Amino acid sequence: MNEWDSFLAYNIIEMWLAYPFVMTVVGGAISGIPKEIIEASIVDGAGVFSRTTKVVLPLIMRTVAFVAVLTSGASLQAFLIPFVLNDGGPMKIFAGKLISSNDLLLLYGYHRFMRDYEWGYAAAFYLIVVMILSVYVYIWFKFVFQRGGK
Amino acid sequence: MATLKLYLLKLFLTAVAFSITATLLYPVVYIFLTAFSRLPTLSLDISYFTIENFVSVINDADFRNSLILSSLVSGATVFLALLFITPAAYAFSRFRFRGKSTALYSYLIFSQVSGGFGVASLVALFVFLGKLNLVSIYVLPFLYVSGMVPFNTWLLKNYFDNIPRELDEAAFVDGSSWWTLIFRVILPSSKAPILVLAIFAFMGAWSEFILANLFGFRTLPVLMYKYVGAYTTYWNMFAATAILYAIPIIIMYMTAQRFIGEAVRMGVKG
Repeated sequence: MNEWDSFLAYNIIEMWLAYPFVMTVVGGAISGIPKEIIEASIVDGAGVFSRTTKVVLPLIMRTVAFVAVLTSGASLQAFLIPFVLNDGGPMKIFAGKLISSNDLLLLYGYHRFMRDYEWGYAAAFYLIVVMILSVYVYIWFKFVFQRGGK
Repeated sequence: MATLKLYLLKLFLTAVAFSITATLLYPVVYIFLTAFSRLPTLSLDISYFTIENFVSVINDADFRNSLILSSLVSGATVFLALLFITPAAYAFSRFRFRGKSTALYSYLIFSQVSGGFGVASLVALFVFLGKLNLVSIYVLPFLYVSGMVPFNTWLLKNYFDNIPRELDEAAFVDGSSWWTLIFRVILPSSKAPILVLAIFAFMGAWSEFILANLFGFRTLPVLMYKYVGAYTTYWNMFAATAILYAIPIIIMYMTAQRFIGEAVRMGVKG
């Protein structure tokens, strides 16, 4: 199996998992749009396409951004799917180490810890991961939480 | 002309919606049909219909051991979650103390990156528990509950915030003690979020895989993982196990759907 195949499979499965959440939240936002706005745009002669892009989308943009940040954050922490599916895909040598070709962020440290028994290396690696996740948390806090997109 | 266009548009949208739904349900249908198949391969073929898979899975000693283990761990997790999270949420909602907002904000942040931080802390946890010889089935519920604390405390705190403070004061004016207030006033009026908390705790413990696998406890998800990793995989058995595994969660969702909606709505609004 090609390494990109399993990467694609992870993406599809993550999308499948995120779908209900996105559907519920965005669907709720769309049904929250007042009917008068839609009717006014019809009266003003907007077609289906321009009604979608110029009226509905701007109104739900904040929700879409909120969902995008949350979903990308969840996928940044993807661990279970690659681990369960094929344990990171076929092995290859990278930078002098034998690693799985699809070691995602968290899985890489886990493999260094469980396969190579390099516990100190894994701990140091996870410290960096915590810093990366802190950047995500900062973005989430700044743009989602404080703006009241909850 | 306009009617035709509208008709075509509706047809197109229906087709899109149908294909999206089909894509979403495809894996579920697949596993469902495989569970009733006599062939040990993944198949959509229903000409080999049988329910023997379920019978042999239920008669399997491994499965029953895992089922008992999972039920005990999940039950203990629910109990501990209620024991720890409910008083904490009430305190966060009603009292003022030092470090309250710091604790709340760190809970908020941890509830966002719980997956990543959780895996990152596995290294420390594994070494720590291994060196201290503490790896036993009894620590598992405690670990699960500690992972659930941030999100569920927020959920319950927001709900308690919506219960008017006047209720507490009125109870005190009428001469009730703390005991009466908590058990006769507050808890009966927040049945829905507590039920939701119990369900979330159950589902979290029921479906937790990483920790159980790391410490080698054969709960149901680990058992299913072992089926797939085995030399030959009987996919029909796997599918039957998966369906039996999913039944409690489906039943809980169906019975408590109304409460989940209400609690999440009230909890999220804040």
